[in-house]
Amino acid sequence: MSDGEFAFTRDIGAAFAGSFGDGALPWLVLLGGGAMVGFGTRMAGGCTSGHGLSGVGRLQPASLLATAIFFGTAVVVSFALARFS
Amino acid sequence: MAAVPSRRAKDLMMRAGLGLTLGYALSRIGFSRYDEVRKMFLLEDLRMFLTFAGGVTLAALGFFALRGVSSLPPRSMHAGIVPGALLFGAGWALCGACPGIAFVQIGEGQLTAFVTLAGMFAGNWIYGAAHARYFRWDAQGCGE
Repeated sequence: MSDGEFAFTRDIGAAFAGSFGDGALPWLVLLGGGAMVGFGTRMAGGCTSGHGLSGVGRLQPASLLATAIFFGTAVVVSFALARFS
Repeated sequence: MAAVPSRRAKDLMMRAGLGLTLGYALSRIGFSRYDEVRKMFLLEDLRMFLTFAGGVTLAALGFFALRGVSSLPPRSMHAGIVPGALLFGAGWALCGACPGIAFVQIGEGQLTAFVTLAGMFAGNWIYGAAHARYFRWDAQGCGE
């Protein structure tokens, strides 16, 4: 749980710093990762809310597939990041 | 004369209220925190998965309850689903945010989220250009 408080910060967290360190890389990861999200969600026609909540909530097969794939991929990539940092 | 909100104003207020509620809930649960999201994806802490499952269940109940009254268009399979979901999942694990979350992060004061959001807008724009030139399916999307 987070405290729900507002605070200006540039600290993303220990896991992010552990994976990407300092310098230019963390910024590139935010930009590049964000671009993958922007590209991929539009390509798939939905995101965690569109496919995950709305689509799965309505038991749409396309959304079940999409949600399984993006969650599964995120898990695999996260394990890889944790392994190599 | 008493001021009665127009239909449009009421609609906007309702959307704003729902948005605020969702944003606050996401922030409190921890979906806007990179460390929490990483823990979820590493299956170290199932709290967030269970919370998501709870949200889906509630959404499903709501859709079921409203099935005769209101409905959303069905989603069909198309060629962009698999590659799109792969890219999205990978990007989410890297930058820690899905589209809505970037806005929640900004709302919390995470200045880095502006960079993430810029990336998302760029990716979205690039997709639009690529789709117009190369892709022949209807990607659908939310409310299109």
